[in-house]
Amino acid sequence: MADIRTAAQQTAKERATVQTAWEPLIVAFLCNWCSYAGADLAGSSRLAYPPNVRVVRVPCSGRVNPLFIMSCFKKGFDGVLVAGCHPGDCHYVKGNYYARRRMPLAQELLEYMGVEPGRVRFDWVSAAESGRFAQVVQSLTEQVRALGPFAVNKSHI
Amino acid sequence: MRALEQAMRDKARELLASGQVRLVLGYEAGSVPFRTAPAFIEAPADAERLVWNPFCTNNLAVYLPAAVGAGRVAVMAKGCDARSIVTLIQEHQVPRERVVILGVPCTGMAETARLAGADGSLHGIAVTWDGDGTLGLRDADGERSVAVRDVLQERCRLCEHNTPALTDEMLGEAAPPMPGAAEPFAAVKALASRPVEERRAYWRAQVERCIRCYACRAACPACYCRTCFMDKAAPRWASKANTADESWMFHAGRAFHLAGRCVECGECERVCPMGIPISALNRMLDREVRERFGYTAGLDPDGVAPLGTFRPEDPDPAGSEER
Repeated sequence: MADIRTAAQQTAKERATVQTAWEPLIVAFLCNWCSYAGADLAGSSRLAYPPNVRVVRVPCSGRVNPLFIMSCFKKGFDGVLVAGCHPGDCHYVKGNYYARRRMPLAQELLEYMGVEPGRVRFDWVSAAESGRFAQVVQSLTEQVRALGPFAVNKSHI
Repeated sequence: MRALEQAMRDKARELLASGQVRLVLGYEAGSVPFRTAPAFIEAPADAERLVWNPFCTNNLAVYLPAAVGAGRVAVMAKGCDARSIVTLIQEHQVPRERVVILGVPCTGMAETARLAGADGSLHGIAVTWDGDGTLGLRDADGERSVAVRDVLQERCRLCEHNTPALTDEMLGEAAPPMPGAAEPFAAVKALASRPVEERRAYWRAQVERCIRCYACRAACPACYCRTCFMDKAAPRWASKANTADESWMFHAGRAFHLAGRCVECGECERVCPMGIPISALNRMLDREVRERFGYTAGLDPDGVAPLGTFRPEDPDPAGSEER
């Protein structure tokens, strides 16, 4: 996480000192067995997708703690993607079933507290779905771009 | 209600004298009018200290996990307290056989701020209770009566479970329903319907006031973690700095940790020195949990909180059907 924080701080400095156009910064929690492999296949297939995504590999979408998502917004990221295996395909049998209950509740809470819908996306991407991964990242980046920088907590800026 | 107070004292005396319990948790007169204090009764003769009135607001379940270690404990449980106890039993924090739940039918607690005089202060006001639904207030300006039903704490007005669900013994007859019980989520719906930018500004203004005293966490029976996520250094979810960012993490994180577990006792909001509407956050998730999973916290000691389980037919996230 230290690397990601440095990257976000650098981008904040760039915004302040150099007149660069703002680019959405999105964290993607990808499960090792499905969505990460799907992203890897997208890469090795040279499929183009927006470079705005920073990948964090987790063993399973069920490992994703809602505090991760809150941390991302606290640190100044603009969007979060959580992607896991399709229901029934979880490498650990049922981790994604827990995620399927947990993630939408986290999205609801964040939306209630003022995080616009569209910033947090929870979806299924299998290891073979390289095209789907690219498409999910493309559409999430466009949505976040349209929403603008995440503005809730700017007390450190 | 006077009969209820007497029933409490008699029962406490009986349980302690017979050795069935080593401690009775209840309420006793506070150090100022308008307040009671949690009572820890160990000797049968001390049972006389127990009181019952519209100021018995504390959720006594918060003391149970520590208290049951040394033996059986009896607790005077209002509807909300009884639901907290059920949650603690579900989560294996309190063994069922170690607690004697004495059910107290409740017609609501008074919001003390609404009893203040013209100067906004409670100072110098003497209060009496008729044992039923009326409070008598006397101060330098004279005397007045107030119906308890007109000065209810909001969480009492909305309460759907004011007669305790799970008890070992009920100390009185079932209580009539509370006036707002049909619409427990009206305020949540109203806030949810506001534009997202307005909600963002609203919650930002609320959490900015937080001084991180953690009174809400201390008062909450569901917050029993030995090390709260806010006190962890690795991973460090939030620093000790009292900025809006860090306080935002606290309130968002704690609300999520209570999802499906909060019984809306309202103590968090009552004890907050800054007047942050914490239960507006908890209630929102309670509504989500009820609508998505048909689950209400604290009613079934054999139940499992919704985030601790799943069903194969749970709905998939919106949009994931696109291929």
